[in-house]
Amino acid sequence: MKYGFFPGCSYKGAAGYKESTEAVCRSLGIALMEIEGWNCCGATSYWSTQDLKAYVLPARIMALAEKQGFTEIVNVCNACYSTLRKAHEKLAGDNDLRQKVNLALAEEGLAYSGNLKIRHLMEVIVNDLNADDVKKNIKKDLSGLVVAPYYGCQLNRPWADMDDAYYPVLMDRLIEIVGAKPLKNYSAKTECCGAAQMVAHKDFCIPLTNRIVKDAVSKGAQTICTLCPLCQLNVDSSQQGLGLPKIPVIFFTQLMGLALGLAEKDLMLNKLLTPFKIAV
Amino acid sequence: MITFTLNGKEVQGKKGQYILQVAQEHGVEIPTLCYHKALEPAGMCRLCMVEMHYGGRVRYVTSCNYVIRDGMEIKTDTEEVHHIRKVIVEMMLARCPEVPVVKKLAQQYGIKEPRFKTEDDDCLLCGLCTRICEKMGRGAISLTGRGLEFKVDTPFHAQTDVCMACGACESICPTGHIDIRNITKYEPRPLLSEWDVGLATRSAVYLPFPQAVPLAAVIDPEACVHLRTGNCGVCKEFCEAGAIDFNQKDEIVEINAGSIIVATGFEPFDPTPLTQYGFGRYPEVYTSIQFERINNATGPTAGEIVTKDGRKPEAVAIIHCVGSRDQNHMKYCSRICCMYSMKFAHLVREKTGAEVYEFYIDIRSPGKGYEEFYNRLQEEGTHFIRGKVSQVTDIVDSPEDEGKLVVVAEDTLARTVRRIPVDMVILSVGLKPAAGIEEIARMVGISLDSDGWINELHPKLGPLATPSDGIFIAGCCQGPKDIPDSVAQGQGAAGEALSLISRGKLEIEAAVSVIDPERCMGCRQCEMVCVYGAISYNASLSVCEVNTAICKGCGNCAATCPNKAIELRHFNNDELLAEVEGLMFAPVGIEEHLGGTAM
Amino acid sequence: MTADPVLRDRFFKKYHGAEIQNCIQCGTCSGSCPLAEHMDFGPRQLFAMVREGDMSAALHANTMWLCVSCYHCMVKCPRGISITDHMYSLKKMAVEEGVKAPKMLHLYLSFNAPVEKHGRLTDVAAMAGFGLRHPLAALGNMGLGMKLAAKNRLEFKPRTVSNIAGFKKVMEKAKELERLS
Ligand code: SF4
Ligand code: SF4
Ligand code: SF4
Ligand code: SF4
Ligand code: FES
Repeated sequence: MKYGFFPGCSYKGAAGYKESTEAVCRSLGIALMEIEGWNCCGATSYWSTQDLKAYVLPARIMALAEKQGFTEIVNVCNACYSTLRKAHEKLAGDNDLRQKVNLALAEEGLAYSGNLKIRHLMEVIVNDLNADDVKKNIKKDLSGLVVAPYYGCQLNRPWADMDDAYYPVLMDRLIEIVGAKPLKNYSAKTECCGAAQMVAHKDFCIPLTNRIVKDAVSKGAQTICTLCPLCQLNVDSSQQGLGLPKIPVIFFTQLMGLALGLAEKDLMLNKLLTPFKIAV
Repeated sequence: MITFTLNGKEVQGKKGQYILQVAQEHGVEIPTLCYHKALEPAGMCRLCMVEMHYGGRVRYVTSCNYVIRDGMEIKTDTEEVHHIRKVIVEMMLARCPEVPVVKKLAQQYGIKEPRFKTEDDDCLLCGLCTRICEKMGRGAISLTGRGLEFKVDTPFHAQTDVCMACGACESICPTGHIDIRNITKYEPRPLLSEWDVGLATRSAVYLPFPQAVPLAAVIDPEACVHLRTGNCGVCKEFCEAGAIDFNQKDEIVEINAGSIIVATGFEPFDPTPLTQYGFGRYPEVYTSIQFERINNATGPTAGEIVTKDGRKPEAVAIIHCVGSRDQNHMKYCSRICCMYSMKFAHLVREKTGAEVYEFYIDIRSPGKGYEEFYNRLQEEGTHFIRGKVSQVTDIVDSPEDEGKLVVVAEDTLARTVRRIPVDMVILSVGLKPAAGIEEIARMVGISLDSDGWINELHPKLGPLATPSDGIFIAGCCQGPKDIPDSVAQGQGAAGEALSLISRGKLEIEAAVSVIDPERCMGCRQCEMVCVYGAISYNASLSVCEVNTAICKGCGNCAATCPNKAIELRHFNNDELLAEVEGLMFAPVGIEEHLGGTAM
Repeated sequence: MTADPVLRDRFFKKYHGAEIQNCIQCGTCSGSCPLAEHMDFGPRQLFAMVREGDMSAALHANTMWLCVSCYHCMVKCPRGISITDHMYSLKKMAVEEGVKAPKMLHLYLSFNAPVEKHGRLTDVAAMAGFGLRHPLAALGNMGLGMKLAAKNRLEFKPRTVSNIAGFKKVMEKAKELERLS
């Protein structure tokens, strides 16, 4: 399976996300082809400060993908996913805006038609792969590992068409497929981590990550599983002063890598701030 | 007939009957444990022991499986019999010290501590489960092993697909030892009572609800083992009235009626899609209908307002507008929820003394005495918080939240977000048109509005009538309404129907359509355009026909017919064209003649 | 309160804000908002003010700057109002009206600058820009920065889009088009 891949700016610096994603895709036969010449999607920062550029940035990425012959763009960051999704929806419904965006893109010989699908890798793995095929590749028994599926807020909003916007279950399914136990009643699965506000207003945001960690720890999870670099960073890094038992926060690709029996150099669990010390 | 003596009295029984059966027929009580009238007796528990004098000998036999004989003498109440039973109970108590039925028996026989070494089992080895499973035609479980290892088990001690998860064993087991999840490979699916809205279970043959008309039991064909497999059938053996007929089928009954009142009512909104309220996820989140059952004396808690784990709630939240006034679900106001929510608040407070929080957007109390009721609730100390609840969660922010459900909402009047811990949440779900309303509407030829409620003839002047004569509507099929309004509309509709009937005659329109059968080619286009459903197709003649009692003379059909086979009486094409012609070629000065204001 | 119908109309028309007139003031948005307790006014109240034209108070509020873009309010609003989008618009209007810039604006600008220059972002570049303006807030994140550096997770070299010239032309054109409208 071939997909246009949009890594986004925070992918490379995220704790082992890149390494584990590449290794997992290699062993499951998913070809993620990086969109050449991609730029930052702009995210909240551009939505908050720019009118047209906020659309031009994601549109350029999508136009590049179109030009390079992709029909689907796979994201690995909730904010990128949501930004591209939003631009895609809005541009479809607003001819005037689409025209302007295309005028700007024409400067570089690009054109945006909107003829592609915006996706997230986690959902691609659950929806496009046959669960039994994944199960065949499982090398390690994770049945003792209780995993809190933390989706973050932006994955499925405001278009709740991939899954429920408040209580999604897709990643729960993924966790089951790889043989681990999803924490069943994890109420904080879409509570907000504070996102970029963590930088400017840390004191406001700590109570938010506190909820995410406490709900997981108190209900018996051994690790929190995320699918967005910013979520991972916020929940992992803010645990210092919480006064709660520490819990490792890993990427779903790292969890999959564990199950697939991949080597540490492919998982890079050592890059986590809260160490992953669970014997699996 | 067999004649013998029972406790000194001469009695008779049929050949082949067991002592216990005859004794029961004569009202003589013998304790039993492993006996069940649907099953062949097995004499496993020995509790039914009686004294038998026969052929000059005295013996002690298990009455449940001992066949009666001429001339035998049975005593059920001697000192010796009592002693034997007591020892049996004592042994049972030693085996299963924690099982309620055994504890109760022990109490009856005055046993405090067994003299034997106690074990910690909860299976009496009565074999009821294995026998009933046999009766279900399965034999998935059996009593296996020897001596101390004797126990109920599946072959190879593994979950089996021979078991069909019918649950008969679990329900017959007197001790609660059986959990079919350990037996079956299938997903057990408890039969939830529709009437108790899933808060209780029911059996496969059941009374739909206590006031059902007719008051008769029905069989759930999806669950009945007999209808599914041909086995079981115990209800038929039990039913003394002989009312069980497995061959009964749904019937379609055709009734000729002069008038029809549509009163299909509503169905409650299912709050599952509103995941932020946790219905189905948190056990203590109920819908309003479920709460009605909890509060009802014949409901699953016998009218006691308690949580599922039996606690009396200290705080209860009632959430208004669940599904209503929400363009993601139903955009209209369901009209009755404010008032019933306040009724709930009153009942909760009266029965439990709990703090009650009503979360509302607007209190709508437009009815006689309604505002006064609201005021009374305020005086009772109900907390009224103006704000739509954003989520119900078990996330613990502060120690008071521990073990509670936290209701999060903005108190819009105090302009602050509140997180209130409660023990129980009631969702005041809105009203939706009953399922199947489209089909009924099509059948009787009336239309629905964009929300799916039936359109009345006129919102002010014809609230009971529909465009089709003789078809009336009553109650919630027209739109959400409370009981007084439904009753009023029902009585009104009945009155309208009666007035038609008592007149005995029907006044019909003079200007109705007529179809010329010679020209009609049976294309049925007219049938489709008639909003009154007055046209039907006569298959034997291959033409359409007009029911003049229904036709309103609108002329839609006449305009549609491609073959010009339809004419409107008194307004036929020739007449209309002549009029038009007359107007167009009128002589000068005709304006005055027509009463126009000439220049 | 002094009503400012001109500014309000700009919000209604240029920023498609007129739909906030449909708000029934139910409070779902403020109740769902993760940072509502730190806001001067929750989204609900802010909309009540805006639609009555109390623009000065609304644009000086910290509400929109504390919006984390979680879209929680937006998916649940019973009137289908694009609340989060209006938060973006109000931020832009506050800047247009020269309201004293809050911390978050500086963060956004430090985020945008390297994007404009290189087309891509590194955390180091964004934090460096922000740190110049808000040393205290940046200091609070110093510990984290050190830890990330120790784990070799920080990139100090800027990352540049391969066809940077084309990228810049596109952005230039976008700026021009925006000025025109
Ligand atoms: S549930 Fe299974 S074991 Fe029990 S009676 Fe039914 S078929 Fe037999
Ligand atoms: S499991 Fe229950 S029904 Fe079966 S033998 Fe034991 S006590 Fe009797
Ligand atoms: S949720 Fe929507 S309708 Fe309710 S107060 Fe907020 S904006 Fe208004
Ligand atoms: S999107 Fe913004 S305003 Fe809406 S709930 Fe999230 S943080 Fe609050
Ligand atoms: S009832 Fe007769 S032996 Fe159990």
